[in-house]
Amino acid sequence: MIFARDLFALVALLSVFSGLLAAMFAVLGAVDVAFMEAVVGMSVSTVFFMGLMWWIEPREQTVYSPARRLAALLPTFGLGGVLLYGVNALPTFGEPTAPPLVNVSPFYIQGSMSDMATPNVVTAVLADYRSFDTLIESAVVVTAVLACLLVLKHRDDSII
Amino acid sequence: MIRSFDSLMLRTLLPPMLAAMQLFGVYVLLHGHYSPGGGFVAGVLLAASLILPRLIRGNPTGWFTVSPSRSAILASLGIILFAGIGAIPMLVGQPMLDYSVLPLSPDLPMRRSLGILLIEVGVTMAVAGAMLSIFYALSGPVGGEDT
Repeated sequence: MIFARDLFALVALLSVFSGLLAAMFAVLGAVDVAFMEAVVGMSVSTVFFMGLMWWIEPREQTVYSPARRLAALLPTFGLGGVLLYGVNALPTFGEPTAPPLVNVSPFYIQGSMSDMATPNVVTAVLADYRSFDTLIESAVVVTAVLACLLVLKHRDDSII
Repeated sequence: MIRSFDSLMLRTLLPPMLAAMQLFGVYVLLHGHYSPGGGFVAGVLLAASLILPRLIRGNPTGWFTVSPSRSAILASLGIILFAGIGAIPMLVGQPMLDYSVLPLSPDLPMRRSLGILLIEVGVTMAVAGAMLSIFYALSGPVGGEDT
């Protein structure tokens, strides 16, 4: 467990955590997700967090009373316990009869080459079989960014 | 505006790094059918290659860049490209985003493959514009010479 009060240290730790997460995804075979995590989590979001330092105090100033700390600790460990309890119900890694592997996945894996000449099944699923999801997802990202721009808009500077 | 962090080493290493990043970004976009990657990663890589010179050189002049006033427009154009290509099949009575009716290639799988490539370009533009917009918004008020 890691305690750090300096936000710069926390941002650096978050970047390291993303790197480890990307390595874990790569080990599990989800190379696309690992690539995404390495590019977004490790590099760009670190730059964004560093940019955020310009707006806020880089050191946490507030000191909370022990009672409030305990009140925050209990739900944290409670939620963690619930999640750990839920891990028991997950299928074993690599089990051929796991629910994600038996419903539509065989259709995608067998069809992506003959339907759209795309060996990378992830691209085929994202951009063709489930392109509606990708369209709305991109729209959500852009809408969120536009909302952020409206919140952060400077009085003397027009961003849009 | 956040002050840039300038040093001889960074300044010397910047051009080759940028060339590698942009080449890799375009490669990830065009090769997404065969290897990991695709529109999202390519967009982030290309946006990072535009953010990096600003971190090192401040407001760079003479570099290819997307100005703060254009980045949100770039993101919106990406969504419009994606949705527009998706809407073309509806004109001939097919479901939305059915690339097999796009007149790109005589071969049916290749038509869908090229349709995927086109919408990935839209996703790349949307993500790159979004990332640049966040960076510009976070980096504070920008000087008047750049907007």
